[in-house]
Amino acid sequence: MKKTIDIHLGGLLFHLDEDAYDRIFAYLEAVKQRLKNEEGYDEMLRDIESRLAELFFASLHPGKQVISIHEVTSAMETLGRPEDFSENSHQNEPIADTTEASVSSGKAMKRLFRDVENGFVGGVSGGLGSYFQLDPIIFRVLFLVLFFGKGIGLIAYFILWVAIPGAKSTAQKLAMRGEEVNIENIKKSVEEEAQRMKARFQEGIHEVAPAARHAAQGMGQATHQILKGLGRALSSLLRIIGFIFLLGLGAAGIALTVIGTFGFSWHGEAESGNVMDLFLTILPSDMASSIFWLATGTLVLGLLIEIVALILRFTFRAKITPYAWRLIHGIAILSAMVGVIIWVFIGLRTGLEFRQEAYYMRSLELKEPQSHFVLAMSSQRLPHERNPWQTHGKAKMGNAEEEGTWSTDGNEIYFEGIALDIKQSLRNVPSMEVLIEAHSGNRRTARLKASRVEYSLEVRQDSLLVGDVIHFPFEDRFRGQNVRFTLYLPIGHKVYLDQSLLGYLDHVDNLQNVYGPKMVGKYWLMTERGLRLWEGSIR
Amino acid sequence: MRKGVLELCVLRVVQKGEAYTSDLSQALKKADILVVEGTLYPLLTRLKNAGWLEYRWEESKAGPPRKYYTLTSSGEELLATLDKEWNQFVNAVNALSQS
Repeated sequence: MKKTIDIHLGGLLFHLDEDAYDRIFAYLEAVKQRLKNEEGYDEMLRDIESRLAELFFASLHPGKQVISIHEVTSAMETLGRPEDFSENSHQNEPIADTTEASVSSGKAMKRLFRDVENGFVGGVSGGLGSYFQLDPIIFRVLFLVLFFGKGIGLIAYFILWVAIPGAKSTAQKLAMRGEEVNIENIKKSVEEEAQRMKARFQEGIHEVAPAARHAAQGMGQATHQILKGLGRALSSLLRIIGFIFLLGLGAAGIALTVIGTFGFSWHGEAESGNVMDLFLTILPSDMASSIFWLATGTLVLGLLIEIVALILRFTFRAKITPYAWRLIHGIAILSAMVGVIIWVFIGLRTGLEFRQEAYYMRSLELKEPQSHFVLAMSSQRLPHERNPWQTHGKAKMGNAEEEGTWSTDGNEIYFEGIALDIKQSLRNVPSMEVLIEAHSGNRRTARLKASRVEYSLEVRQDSLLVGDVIHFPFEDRFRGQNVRFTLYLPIGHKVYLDQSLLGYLDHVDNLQNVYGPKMVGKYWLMTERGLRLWEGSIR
Repeated sequence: MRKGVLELCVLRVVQKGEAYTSDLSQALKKADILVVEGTLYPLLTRLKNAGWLEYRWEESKAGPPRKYYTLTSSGEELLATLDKEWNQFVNAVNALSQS
């Protein structure tokens, strides 16, 4: 099916298809350019049009109602090239270039179009090949190579496909090839003129300055073209993003929400290739990693099928039957759903392993200090602080104020799960109590996990040095392990809180009712009513 | 020069009887002179405007009405002059090539 354009020539109505119209319009424009300085121009033009009408008329019969490019070409052969219309043709006089006709020679240059007809995919390579006069295969290979380089080729191709207009009309095809045939050059430029005039007539604006009108029209068309392409690209992109968002968020979100309800938040970062480590720090230890891969694999597969199908449809304009579409969508969604379900299962299993908490306690009796204790924190390095490529992240226990950093070297999980407290000793002896907490599906395994947590506590004379990092076996997974050090001071004992404790003393009851940051760097005395700031002299 | 010769040829064809553009081009083509009709339009219009040719409209079954050209009396005179000039010219050229 082709669109036809009605014209009247010599008082007769003709139906022309678009190519034929473009051709004859350009031809007549070129003839006009040749004749416009001749005497009797109008009359000649009428005669020429009459003759054209006669030639067209002769080519029509009841079975042939529309003038096509073929009839136009044969009519043009009878009448001759535009150059033949000038009696001075033998002088080889160039076309008048003082006025608008300058577009003929000035714009008759090569233009970048997509070679839609001969294109392999979208005609981008073909168009580029025509433009640079190189074999299109060079560009195809280039796109392919770039495609495997992180998909840049695909993105570049897609952008070019959207941005470069397809060579649709004969003139554009010629412009794409940069053909130098005189009449074709004229034809092309004249066609632009025709576009402009068409728009002007359609909108009935004759007053507006032609130049401004031309510019506006050009911009309008370009904008329209870009918007159309962008719209197409955007709609497919939105679908993909929406799909990923829903499924990805659904899976990961459900898993972490389940965990979150048990008062523990966790997030990880993985640099280099330790993504597996990242997930294994939290996933159940008895769960085969193949289940994890199965979930991820089916989810990703579903997404890939959908993405590839969309790319095929929108970028490569593949012709896929509605039935095939339903099938592809069905497989993609099914695959992704399987992934989501397994992920939810993993998430639930993981979450349930936070259900039961257990404590493991150790108490260390301290010697009487000479005058006071000094409580300080020793900063220990996490694996990723030595080697940035190690997997690490942040985690927060239910009642902790701040997130702590965690890190793993694959054998042990290290975590800043430390809290400090100072309380009145009910006995008359100073002591340090170490309370280790861990979670699991049942109390027994929870206590077992707690017992495996290692911490650092050094006692040097009156100095108590607490390490800020705890660690536990990787197999134990992240199950809210944390250690709370409580210094039990008998009444009358003093303690100096070192500056290094900043940030670890947020919940220490004291008579001054101040928070950690105001407690450090000071001496404190345990009284009957509680811890009180000591501003007297220290022996 | 070609322009002048073409003019003469057109006038001669028209002299033989009233002619339409396509008749003219066919007659000229037969004589191996012209290739396309396009060239005739400026020529005919110029000759008509100069008063050497006149035309009458004739309805056509195969399209718009046609213009049939005939010589005016001044056209006849011009043709006679041109013929004379042409013969002289040909004789001169022939004489040169024979000597």
